[in-house]
Amino acid sequence: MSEKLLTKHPIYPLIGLLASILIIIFGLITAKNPECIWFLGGMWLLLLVFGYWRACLAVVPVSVVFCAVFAGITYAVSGDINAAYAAVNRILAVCVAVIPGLALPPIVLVRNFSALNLPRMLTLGMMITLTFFPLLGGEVRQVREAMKTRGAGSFFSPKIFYRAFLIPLIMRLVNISDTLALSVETRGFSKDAKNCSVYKTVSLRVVDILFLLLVIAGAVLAVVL
Amino acid sequence: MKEKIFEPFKVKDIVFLAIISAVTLCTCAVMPLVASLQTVIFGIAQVITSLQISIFFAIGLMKIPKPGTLFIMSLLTGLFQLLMAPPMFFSNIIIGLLLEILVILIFRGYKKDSAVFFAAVLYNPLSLPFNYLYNLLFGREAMTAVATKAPWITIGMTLAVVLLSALGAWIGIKIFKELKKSGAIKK
Repeated sequence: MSEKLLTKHPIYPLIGLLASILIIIFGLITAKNPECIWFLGGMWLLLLVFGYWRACLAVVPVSVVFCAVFAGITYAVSGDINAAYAAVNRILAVCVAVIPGLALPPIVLVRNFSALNLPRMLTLGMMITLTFFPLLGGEVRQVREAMKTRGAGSFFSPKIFYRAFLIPLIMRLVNISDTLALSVETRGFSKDAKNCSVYKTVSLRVVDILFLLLVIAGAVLAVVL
Repeated sequence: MKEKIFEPFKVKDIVFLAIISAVTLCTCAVMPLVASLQTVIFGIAQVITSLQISIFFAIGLMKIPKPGTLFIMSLLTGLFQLLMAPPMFFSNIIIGLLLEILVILIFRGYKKDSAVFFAAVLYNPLSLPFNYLYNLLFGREAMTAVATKAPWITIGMTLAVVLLSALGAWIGIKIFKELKKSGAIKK
């Protein structure tokens, strides 16, 4: 997940999560219906209007490639144009549903969870998992560079992959985890601390409720029409 | 003296499990590539993810051999899958809980390598019957028909998932032992 995709004023995190679930569920249910594409297009536009434009634009090339490849494979395997159309809708449903998650700054989600008094273990785990995705790409690149420098050979040879890529990568992960754990504890994070204050609270706004109502209306229309 | 089964998790345990979950999720990013083939080939999504899931879950279980480790990893991976495929979230949670109970009843924790192997091997194959039941329950005929359309393919794919999971669990345990021997990992 890239920081460039994050939005400054995200929808209330739980509402964003609920919207994603609704989009994916209704997208999959109505995948075979001709109206499904309009529902997904409408949801994409809605997210674009509500400030998620960076993530909305970022998923366009990805979804075009995925749709072309998988609709092609589905058509080649089944020979049915309707099956290919349903495959396109399923891929689009996933691509649109991930937009709220892609654009949500992790700290906002964590603040929201903390304010809702969810277990701190869960909050910490989610924060680390979310922030680790961009770091992992860098780590993989470093290990591959080291492989090249050492002249380790082909990445696709199982023996070389295991010895020169997998083992160093796991070692890096362990080291990062130790450093991160120390850093978290040094900053006073404790699993058992009962009282804690949330620096900036995330509150529910009228816009969030309007957004949710529009998503629900879209989902109902997709089924009814 | 009676050995304690349940041990509390430390912050560093949660950090390691979160990192392992993030890596597992990243390696499972290939799953959407075959999402549309699930109605054509039974268990295709599980076949392409079972190796990496069992490698990383086995490492996580070996490093933190406490009851609840598998459930935390499945919860953290599941929460992110909730945005993409809600059934996978429920599948992860239910299978995670089921395996935790089984491991506590049979092995009384993850102290033995066999317990880690057992949990890492069964985690992915168990999602096959779960998905089948889920699709049956929610009337997704295309997903259930694929299992009965070609029984030999269904059996072959199920065996492939089990074998790949076993290979992944074995590799994960091997990596952990190697790193432990070299002093890079402390249990």
